[in-house]
Amino acid sequence: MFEANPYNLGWAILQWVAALAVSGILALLVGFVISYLALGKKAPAAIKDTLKRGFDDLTKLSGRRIGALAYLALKESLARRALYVLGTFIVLFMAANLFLRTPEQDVPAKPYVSFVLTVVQWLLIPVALLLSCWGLPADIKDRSLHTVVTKPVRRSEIVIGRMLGYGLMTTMVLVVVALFGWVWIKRVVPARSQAQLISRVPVFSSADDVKDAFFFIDRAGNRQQFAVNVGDIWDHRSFIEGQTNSRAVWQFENLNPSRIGDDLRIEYRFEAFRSHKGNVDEGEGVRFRLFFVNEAKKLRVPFPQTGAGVEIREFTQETVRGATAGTEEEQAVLRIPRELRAEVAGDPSATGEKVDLFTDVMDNGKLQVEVVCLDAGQYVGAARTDLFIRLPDRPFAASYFKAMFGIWLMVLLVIMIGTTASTFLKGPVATLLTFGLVILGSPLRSYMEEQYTDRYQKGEVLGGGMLESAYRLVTQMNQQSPLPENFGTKTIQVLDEGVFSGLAIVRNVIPDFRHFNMTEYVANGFDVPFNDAGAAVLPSIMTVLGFFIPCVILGYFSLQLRELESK
Amino acid sequence: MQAETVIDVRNLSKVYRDFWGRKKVQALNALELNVRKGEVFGLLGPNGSGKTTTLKLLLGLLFPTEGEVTVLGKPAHDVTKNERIGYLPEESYLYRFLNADETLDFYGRLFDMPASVRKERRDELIKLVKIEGARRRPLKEYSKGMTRRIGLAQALINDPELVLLDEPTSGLDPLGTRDMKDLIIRLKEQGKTVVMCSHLLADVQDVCDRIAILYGGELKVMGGVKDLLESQDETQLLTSTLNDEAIKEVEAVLKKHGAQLKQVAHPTSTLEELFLRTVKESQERPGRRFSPGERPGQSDSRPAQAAVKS
Amino acid sequence: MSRLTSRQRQLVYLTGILVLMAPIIVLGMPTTQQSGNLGIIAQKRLEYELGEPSLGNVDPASATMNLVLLGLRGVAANILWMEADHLKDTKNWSQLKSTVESIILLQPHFQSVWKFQAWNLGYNVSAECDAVPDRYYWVKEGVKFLTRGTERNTKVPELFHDLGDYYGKKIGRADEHVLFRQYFIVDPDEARWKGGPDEEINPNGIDNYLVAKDWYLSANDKVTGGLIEQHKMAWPIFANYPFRSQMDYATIRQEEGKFGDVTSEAWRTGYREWTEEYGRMDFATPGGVVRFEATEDEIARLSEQDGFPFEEKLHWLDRYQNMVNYRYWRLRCNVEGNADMAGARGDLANGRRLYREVQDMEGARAALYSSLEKFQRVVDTYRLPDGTSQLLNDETDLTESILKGILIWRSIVKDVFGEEIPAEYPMDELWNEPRYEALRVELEQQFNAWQGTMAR
Repeated sequence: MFEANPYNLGWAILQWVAALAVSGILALLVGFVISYLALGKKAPAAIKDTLKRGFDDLTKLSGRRIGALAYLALKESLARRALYVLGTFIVLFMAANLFLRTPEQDVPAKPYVSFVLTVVQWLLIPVALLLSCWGLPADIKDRSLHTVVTKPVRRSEIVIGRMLGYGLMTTMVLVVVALFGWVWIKRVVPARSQAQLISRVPVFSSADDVKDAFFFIDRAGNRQQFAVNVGDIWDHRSFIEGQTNSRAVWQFENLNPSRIGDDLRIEYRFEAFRSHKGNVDEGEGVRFRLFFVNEAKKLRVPFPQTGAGVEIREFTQETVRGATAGTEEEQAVLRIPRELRAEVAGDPSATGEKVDLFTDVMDNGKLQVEVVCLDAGQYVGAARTDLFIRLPDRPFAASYFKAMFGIWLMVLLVIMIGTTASTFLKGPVATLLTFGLVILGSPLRSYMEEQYTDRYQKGEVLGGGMLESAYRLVTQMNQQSPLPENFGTKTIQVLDEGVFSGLAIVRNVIPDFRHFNMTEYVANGFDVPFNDAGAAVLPSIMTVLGFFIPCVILGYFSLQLRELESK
Repeated sequence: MQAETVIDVRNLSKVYRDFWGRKKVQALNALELNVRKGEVFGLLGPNGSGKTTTLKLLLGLLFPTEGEVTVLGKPAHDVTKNERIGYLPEESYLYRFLNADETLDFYGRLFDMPASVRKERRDELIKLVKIEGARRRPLKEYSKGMTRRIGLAQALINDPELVLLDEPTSGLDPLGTRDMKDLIIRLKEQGKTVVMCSHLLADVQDVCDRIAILYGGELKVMGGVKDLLESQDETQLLTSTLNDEAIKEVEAVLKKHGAQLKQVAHPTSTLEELFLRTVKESQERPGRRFSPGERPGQSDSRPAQAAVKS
Repeated sequence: MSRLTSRQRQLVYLTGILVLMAPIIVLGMPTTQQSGNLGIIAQKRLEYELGEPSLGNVDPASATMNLVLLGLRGVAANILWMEADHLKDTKNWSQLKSTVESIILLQPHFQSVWKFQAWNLGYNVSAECDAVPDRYYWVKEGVKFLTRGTERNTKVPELFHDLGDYYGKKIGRADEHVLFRQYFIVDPDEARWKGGPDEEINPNGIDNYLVAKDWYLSANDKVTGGLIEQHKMAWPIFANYPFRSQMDYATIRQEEGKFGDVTSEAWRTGYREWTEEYGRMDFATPGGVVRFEATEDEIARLSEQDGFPFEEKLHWLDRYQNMVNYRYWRLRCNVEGNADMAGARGDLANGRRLYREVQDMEGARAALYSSLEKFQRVVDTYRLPDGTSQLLNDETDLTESILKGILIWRSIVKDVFGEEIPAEYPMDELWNEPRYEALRVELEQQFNAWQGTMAR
């Protein structure tokens, strides 16, 4: 998941504080009611005492004790054969050839990379689940925890120690697996696709209002958010028609010429759409031309400066094409020199004044790039992320290990949640709960967000909520046809509204696992961004930190407030 | 002078409830108890009488339904009191994948003890409980007795002021039992307070200063062992072997003093004593077997025993 | 209630299991033991070719996957299928391909999977690309995928026939067929194939229509010799694909201006195969068995054999011949295989080229005249008793070509050299034939219009 918009850290922290405060107050209220029922008038004193103890136990921690408990969890994991997973992993990789049909010389690098990262993820999640969810309950059941808690150990230390120990264990496994995967990729990716193992550093168009970062100009010269729809199921790209006024416009800001290098490298991901065959026997592609525009100075600088324009090179990550493999042409990169000549208005054949791209056209770090299609009757499709400035590349290792770092953070989060769940649930139930959160947080998260946006931003969900959908399914009713007006359907809608409100609340506390999944970047040869609203390093770190504190608090209180005697 | 109170239990009740909060068992009912510094205190009672529950309430493993518990002047749920307590659970609930060294080191770290102190304590205790030969084997390979020993060692890792022992001799062979009892007495000599619960009365009798007998969750008897066992209306004499004539003369003398000879017999030793003697001699003179009728550690002049009712 | 100990109960269960399994074990024993009823399941499996090895190659990975998934194979396949659709929609071709590989691991003997996903790669993905080499790359992917399908399912005729379609129709008739056919001989991935063909799909470097013919032939073999039926089309049509492919090969050579011996030989091979192989095949019709190339005696014998009246059999033979256009193709092969015909077509093409491109009017005039002479000879060869030529009756394309030839020749004679058109010249019967009056006028108008643009 990639959004090309920065992660809103301030907002996230605010939301976190709010969620924490609300849950804290709720927990206090529930605690008060329960203790009032049990203790009567002594309840306030008991709560005060519990909170005071809680504060002590959560703040006066001993590093040595936590270390000892972490060491214990580590030894326990080893005793529970956690390392078998390494064996499984290696066997899987030896068998991987069977899945990927290697060696085929013209397989691009992408499937190999995403295979490794996906396997690592789905191998480590069960390990983390099994370790973290079953450790404490087993300890309580065997009563070995009795011996521990009769020592001057704070229960918060037990929770943190466990998290730390399992974390260390999985870290060790991950390091081995990551290195193995690295060597495997380097060895198995066909020689011709090795060039695709890079880490591009893209700069995408941006603006305070995202609508200014990318837009279209239609035939009539009016600004639009969308251009022509050519009937593609995937509405990611909009298409501009050739030999008309239609243009796609990107606006970059905060560009720093010293970081860009000598030439400006622009990479594109356009798609061609033909409304007529064209000169297919000569194999001519649909062509486009770039313009660098400075509207204040009325400068329009074309690229290529003369000639027939650039033939679109499509789907560069999806195939390996012969002689050009690994070249910039293969990667659809345009290398644009600084020294260019501006266009003379109304006379395409004349050469205009000499300009410097960085000093004359770029204005205070801002640069406007326009794309026109050159073939009449043909179309060029583009989306905001389909054109970006490429800063000097980083080594493939940069993105690969950043993605592994993301997986590491995700596994830590799973361990934290699993350990917390195991303080109040038995092993199997804790596993189910944690795994459920993982599923809700990653594959189902997008669906959840979609429902949420439909309901609360667009105002209507097609086919209605949970019960309404079920009703439509059973009665085989179309999604659009109105429900019959009666008491039953009214009830259904009211109940569904409740479900939606629940969703709106729960959405804020279920971790967004999509932040951690950086596979797409690496597989497509991009650097993993530090700060992006989608998958990126910063939101991943913040998510883990954000869950650490409530997990420890929750784990502490549920260990503290229960009798460890399992009777 | 009344010694300082180490454990103070007031009106302590514990009710176990089922999932729905319905009362299942009344494990303890209005227990009043106190243990003084420096004594060995025995909690007795049949299975299910509430001994272990009491210990767990003292340790804060269970929460009282009613009443108050103060241990070393602090409430039971205060973890800092544990710094001065050693606890040997009923069965040694230890981590089976650790070896003896690792186990002691682990518990030492839980007391926040620096490495040098831990090492010292560890070596000392391993010698004390006599498991030097097995210190590097994981606990899962240990016999029951060895597990008890390492359990005891971990209970003493912090040199505690108060030692709580739950069935300390269960699973031990007589030799081990004797070691354990010797150790308890040594702890007492060091001025530590020991609370043990057991249903092996002989063990309790041998080491305890005071006992409490629980039945069905209620305190039935509490007091000093001597006070409770001594019968004031009988006198026991122990002499070297007497012939019938001498016995008759003794009987006559007794009559003169208005007392009555109730029983004349050779004293029987306890099986425990016999066992211990046998083992001891076997260790001193290996390879020797005792012929029938011969008894180890037997003195030539056998004492006769007489119970006299005055 | 039960007085059995758990050990005893376990024994009871075990006995029960053994008793229930005994027949399966006995019947399912390997057949190597020649012992009466033992191993009857294995024997039957062999007899009816139901074992997996008899369906095609066994892939160990596929077998393992199915074992690991236990009963969840269908669920997994569904999820993967949805994933594949999503990847296709979002144009993630390389991952689409690897997902399709996973689907195939799960359902290796489900022919629709092979067909559908091969179509996805070879047609849908291919069409999404703009560059012709990219399109060709994905056609090849589809072909390679389907080839593996035939290896895993050696008895499914439709997969073989589909492959014939990929080689013949996709490579040979797509909009991009001119380039595709070149790429088939000289792969655009020159770094890998060093100026030769992609050996995975064309190891011998031959024409795509000939490769297609081989696949169609094997498809026919699977139908006639195999267990699995084809439901693609009527059998007489299905069966003629390899032979038609041979003709397609000859035709496209002519279209590409190759009129030499190879082309003539290709036509003659086509004629031989059409009449001696296809024409000798037996087809079941409502009027019993018919044979396209059957003599009257043979028809009489066939009608004796299956009891259908001679007249009825003739009727059905005629209908079936019409269905596959049998007589037309027979004649076409026969004519095109004629040396004069090849010469005529060659001269005609040469004359047109000299006139239009080289502007060598002398040469053009001679070539066109020679072409018309040869056409005349061929037409005379196929003259019917009523005086008309069978060739001109059936072949509108041919008549059009000849008319164009006459038109250009006449224009050269009259307009370039300023001579009178001779009263008689070869093929003048066609020029003067009233049936073609309309066509002739239309061609003249086109020709004049074209000349007009040239003059401007």
